[in-house]
Parts: sequence; C-alpha cells; structure tokens
Amino acid sequence: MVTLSRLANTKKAINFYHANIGACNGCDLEVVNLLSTFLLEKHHLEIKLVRSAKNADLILVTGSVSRALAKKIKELKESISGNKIIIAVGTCAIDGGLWKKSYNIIGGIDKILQVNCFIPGCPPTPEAIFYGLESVLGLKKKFFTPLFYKEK
Amino acid sequence: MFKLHIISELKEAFLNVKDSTSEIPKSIKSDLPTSFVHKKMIIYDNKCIGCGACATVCPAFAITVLENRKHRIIDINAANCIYCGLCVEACPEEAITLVSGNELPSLNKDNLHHELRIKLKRCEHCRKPIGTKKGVLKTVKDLFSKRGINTKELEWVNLCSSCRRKFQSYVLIRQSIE
Repeated sequence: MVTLSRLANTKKAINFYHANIGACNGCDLEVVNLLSTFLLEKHHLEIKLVRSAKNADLILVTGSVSRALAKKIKELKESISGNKIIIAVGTCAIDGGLWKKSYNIIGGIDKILQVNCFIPGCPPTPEAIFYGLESVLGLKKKFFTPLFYKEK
Repeated sequence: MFKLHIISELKEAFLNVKDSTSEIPKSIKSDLPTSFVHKKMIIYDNKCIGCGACATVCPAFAITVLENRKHRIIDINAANCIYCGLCVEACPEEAITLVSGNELPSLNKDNLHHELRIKLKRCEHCRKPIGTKKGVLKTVKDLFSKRGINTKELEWVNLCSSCRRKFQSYVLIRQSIE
C-alpha cells in the first residue's frame, strides 16, 4: 500500500478523488469547505483534484451504498481498491446513517471496499475531516484512540 | 372576514411597535434541542440506570436496547450519531453529555462501538423482570425525597404489576376480616 506520509514528505501534490454515492450534499459542502480553508497550509499539503478514481491516491467517499450501485462498484473494485487510501465521511458512508433500515440500502462502503479511516458526523466539521486526514497520512505523532465513554 | 383579518394584523403591528420585539411561539421553541452544535459525546457508565429513554428519542438508530437473561444491554453506535443532542435532554441522570471537540474520527470501526450492561431486577414472587436494580433504587429515593414515603412501607416495590394487585387484595381482605 502507498504510504501517503512518504508522499506528504516529498511535497508532491496528492491526487484526490471525491466520490459522491448518493449523499444529500451536506458532507460534500464540508469537504469543499475543507479545501478552501487554510488548514491544509499547516503541513504544506497540496491537493490536486482528479477526474477518475484510477489515478487517485486518496478517495473520499460520501453517502450510503444502494443495492443497485453495489453491483457496479464490485465491477470496478480491482481498479479502485489497489494502492489507494479510502476515507468514509459522514454517518451514511460508515453504516447507512438515517437510511440504515430502508430496503434498498446495504449499509456503509466498508462492506465492499477496505476503508482506512472513518469520520462520523452528520455532517462532520471540516476540522474533524482534517483530523482524520492527519491521522491517515501519519502526520500526527500521537496515535489516538477515541474513547467516548468514561467510568466515573 | 377579510376586514377583520386586516384589523387583527394592524393590532399586532401596533403592539410590536410598542415593544419593538417579537417572539417565536412556544411550540416551535420546544422542538429544537438546546445544544445542536457539533460536539463530542461522552458517556458516564456508572451514572446510567438503564431506563432506555435515550433509545426511544434517538432518530438515527444510534442507541438500541436489548435484554439478556441477567442484564439489560444498551448498544451505542457513535458511528450513527448525528449529534442532535436529544438524548442529552431525555436522560434523567445526566449520563450523556456533549463536550466541545472533534467528532471522533477513527481508524477502526470497533472504536466507535460501546456496550453498557446493567443488572436486571426481578419480581420476588414470580421472577419476572421489572426493571434495572439502579432504576428501582432511584424510584425509592424519589418517593422518599419528593413525597415523604418511607422505604419500609414499600414492600410492593420489589413486585411486578400483576403480583402487586394480588398482594394488595390480600392485604385488603385481611383488614376486612380483622
């Protein structure tokens, strides 16, 4: 697998593909917000939007997977899943979200492809997406475990 | 009718000029949760009494309640949470709180899953589950603090609803004989 931390150190532009699989455009707006902010300047990251998923290093997925679309993703699986880092953004991409129990939806994208990072939220803030990006790229020194429960 | 409508509108306009403020009607206000900003959810395990109020309120199927033979299991999926804050308002024990921060991005899906196990309380007579042990204790405390009922008088607390009726009828018959 391509380690993007190496890519980040060489200061090459990261090929970035944004895939919308039937999202409500809430998460997509937050992704656009992330690209327009100065958060990426923190690590001198350059991001280059790519038209096809074949050329991409990093794929960002929003929206839940329907039954009809799952067949077509399975056909493209070999070209998409090799040597790529996949990030699921929003509750829909992780587990189906609000449409979890409807008949036409399988669930999250992790049932078909191997996902490297999960970012919950409806929609997640651009800061949260950036936090996930940092951890995937290996730019964060501390490996975090998000414990959201306490025993007091 | 039309004229009356205009007159009522004019009346409101004059009133608003006096006060120079207008309020949202109460029915709209109560629907909105107080804190629906993006925040981090934190759950305190030992405060939870297992009433399941949060599960009934949750619109995103993030919290579900199951029952075992010994325990009541509360499944919490932070992956499904939409951070609406309705569960925080519903919780009587303040076991769920929202703290400002990121929305828990993680590399493993298992990190976003959490299970709470709370012991069940059974009826002393027929061994049917009534509720959780902590929940029954809370009702006893509330009855004493709010209504001044002693805990010694509350023998029927440990019984289920059908057994309670039998117990009470038995007591009434006894009193009538004596």
